[in-house]
Amino acid sequence: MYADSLNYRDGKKEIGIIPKKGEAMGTCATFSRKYICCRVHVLRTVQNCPFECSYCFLQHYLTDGLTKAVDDTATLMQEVKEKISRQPRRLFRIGTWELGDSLALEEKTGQAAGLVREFARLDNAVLELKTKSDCVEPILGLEHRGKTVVSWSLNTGHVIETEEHLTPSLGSRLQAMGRAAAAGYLIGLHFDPMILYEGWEQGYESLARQVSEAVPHEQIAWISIGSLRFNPAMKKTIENNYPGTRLTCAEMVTGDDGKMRYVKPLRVGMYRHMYAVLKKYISGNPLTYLCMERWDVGCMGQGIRPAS
Amino acid sequence: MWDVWDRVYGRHPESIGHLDYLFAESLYRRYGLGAGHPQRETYEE
Repeated sequence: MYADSLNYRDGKKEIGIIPKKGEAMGTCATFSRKYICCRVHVLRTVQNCPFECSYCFLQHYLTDGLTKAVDDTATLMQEVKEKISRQPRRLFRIGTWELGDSLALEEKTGQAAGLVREFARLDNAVLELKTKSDCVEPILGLEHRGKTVVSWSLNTGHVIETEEHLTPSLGSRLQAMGRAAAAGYLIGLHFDPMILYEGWEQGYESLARQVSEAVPHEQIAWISIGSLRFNPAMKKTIENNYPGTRLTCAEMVTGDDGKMRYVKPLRVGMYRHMYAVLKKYISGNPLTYLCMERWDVGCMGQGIRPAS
Repeated sequence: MWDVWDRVYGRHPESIGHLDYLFAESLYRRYGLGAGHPQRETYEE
């Protein structure tokens, strides 16, 4: 098949197990000096995803007609160990979600399980498996030694139904989260991308309440909040692939990083609301941060700027 | 104005490196993760 004749959905039908080629570990692709980035590292172990989120950048980025998973864990870990050994006093957070879902294909690949076992033996690194799936069974019995954070990308029931096609329901994700927590894993929560719709305030409050009832709060390692953003060139792709979506109808502006976002007062209002309901329902003081926001929004207009 | 960072930490992250350090500090304090108590300068390199 030729790339220009492929629909991006073609790449979701087949999984190719591939060897590691070149560097697999790097910094998150969203790393930016103008926007707050948490400096998480990524391990590129999977490309593409079986889910169909209308806002997903992969539909614009991956068009080669195949989902790929790297199978040689030993070679991947060789690179990880070599890189983290250069800064032994630093704690690295390393996620496998940059170009796909960390767990959605686990029953077919066994990839995450291999990494969980390996990270259990590392002193200065934590593995983050980020998912929208409910596929936790393969990792529940592993000896992880607390070195893996299983995190979920979460959204309201309305957004899941209208924009996150083929993904498990919120209830299924929360049930899986509870099982992972019961197996001793630390949990990460990503309320990202927040999306505006009529009734969004109640939707996100309900989401925070449901999450708070699903998992022991002391096991929540971190929480991120972010809002819808996409490359302007992707607008047409979204409208073509998902003709019924309302995502592209909102008033948006192009930021310094070239991505379109809701206008700033809307974003600040969304973050304030989300943080307020998180504080209302979730105790334990987990680290909470804004993903890919400007410093002046991250600091809510108090005039604080980063030193670098 | 309300400030998400102040509400969590009582301070703002001063840089990307500082935010990275805050992760390490939180994970060490709450779960004992990492190779000893994190040092701020390690994360500003």
